[in-house]
Amino acid sequence: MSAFLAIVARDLRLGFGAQGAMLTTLLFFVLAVSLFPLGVGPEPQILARIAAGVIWVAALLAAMLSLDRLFQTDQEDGTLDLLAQAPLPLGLVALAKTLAHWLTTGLPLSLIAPLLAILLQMEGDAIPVLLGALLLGTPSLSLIGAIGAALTLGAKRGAVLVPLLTLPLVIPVLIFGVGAVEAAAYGLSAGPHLLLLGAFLAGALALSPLAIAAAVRLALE
Amino acid sequence: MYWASLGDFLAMGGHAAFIWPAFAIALIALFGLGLLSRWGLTAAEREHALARREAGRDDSSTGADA
Amino acid sequence: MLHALANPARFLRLMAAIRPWAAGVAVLGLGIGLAWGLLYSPPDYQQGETVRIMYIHVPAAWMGMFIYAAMAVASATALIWRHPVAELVAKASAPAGAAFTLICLITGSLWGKPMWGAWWVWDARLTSMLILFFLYLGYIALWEAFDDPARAGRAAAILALVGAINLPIIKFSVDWWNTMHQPASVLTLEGPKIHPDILWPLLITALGAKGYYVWLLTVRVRAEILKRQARILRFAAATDRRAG
Repeated sequence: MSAFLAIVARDLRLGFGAQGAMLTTLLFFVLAVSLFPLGVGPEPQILARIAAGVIWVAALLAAMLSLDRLFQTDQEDGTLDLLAQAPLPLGLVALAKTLAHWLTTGLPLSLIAPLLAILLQMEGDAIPVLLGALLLGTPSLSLIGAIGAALTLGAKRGAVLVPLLTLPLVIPVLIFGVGAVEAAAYGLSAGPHLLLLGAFLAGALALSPLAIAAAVRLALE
Repeated sequence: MYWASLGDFLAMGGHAAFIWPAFAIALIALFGLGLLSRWGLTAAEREHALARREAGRDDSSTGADA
Repeated sequence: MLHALANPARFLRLMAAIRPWAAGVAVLGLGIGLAWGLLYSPPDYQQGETVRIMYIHVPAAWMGMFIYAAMAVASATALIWRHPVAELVAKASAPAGAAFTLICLITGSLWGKPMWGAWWVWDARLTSMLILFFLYLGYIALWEAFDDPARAGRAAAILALVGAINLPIIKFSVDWWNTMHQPASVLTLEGPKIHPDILWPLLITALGAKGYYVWLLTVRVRAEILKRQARILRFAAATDRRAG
């Protein structure tokens, strides 16, 4: 267990640093969302109507940004080979790195999203649901994204490929994430949507470490 | 035969502009992909023969000429 | 039987034997099916003649999904039993799957214009087909992203499996999303209830499309095997020369 935490701590130190992924991801997210009122126009009704979709799509794209570096830097300086010999099975190593990735991207995105929701005139009582849905949905983005990152290890132009491979697979997270927020905005219960998001997360937690480990093993051969 | 005349058939009840392009695009796409694959095969055959000659081995165990 | 096919030479001989039959089924199936659909089947009481686009649209949709399933099975075989030829079968299938999915999207759009006045309608099935098309593009792009084909093969096989597991979930979420935003009067693409005059041409065309897929497979897999062997021979020749 300590090996698991050691990997997470190491990646967190890297992530939080000035040149870490967190700052760039957050800035991209805030900037992308603030562009929409400039593009679509400031009318509150329109902005409120599209707020959930805009925030979720921007969160999806922001999460994609830092994914290709997830395993790449470790492979280049050889730490990936050391990690493979760690007392931990490769699946858990993958989970540790993905957890660190989520803590430096998904979590900060979710925490800042309510602020942006206000920017986009979102309904007051929908904002807590937005936070909850993002907290439930962004880990799935990291897990599925990590598969894309592992698959493109050592590929030419890997950075371009990760979104192409990952985005189609996270569409259910987008649909139910936005669905939850819109249900809350219309005063309906967001329960079922959040449950489905949780189910997707449970599935991703169980299955994606297998795929990530298999893909990383390919790169180590 | 559903159609009374060739003219009716070509007109497709006024929707010729949608029906014929749909079928044309589909058949052209399939035919084109088939052609591309055939060319790819002849290129692969030539490359394979060249490599075998280079390697000086004339084993036909690869069933290349099947 | 499975391991017998692992030997490329035997696989090549089987492919060569199948090819003329597959070509025959393709030409006859597509020819008769489409002719029947265009010439003999009745128009739809609501849509009129535009329903005839269904005879190419629906088989293309079936093929798009069928080929992705075939790719997933081939990829699983390649990963589980390290079956060398299965990887190449999956690689050879992807372009055909992408082509059929694209045909389905284009013909769906051409069908939608006269019926709903819009080139694109976010109908649940069309949307799922669009996502399936992206999955095909991702698969093909991953194959091209590596210099070493063996490395690319296994990475693509994993992607195909991950995609196959996600596809039903995506289909479910898109269907749900569609009902949530369902404009009241959207006529579903299925339209007419399937009665014999319409079912037979559909099935024959679908059979023809499968024949075409098998024929294309025999051509593309043979090319992939020959290219790989040429690569190995050249590699061996180079090492001999360096050693000599």
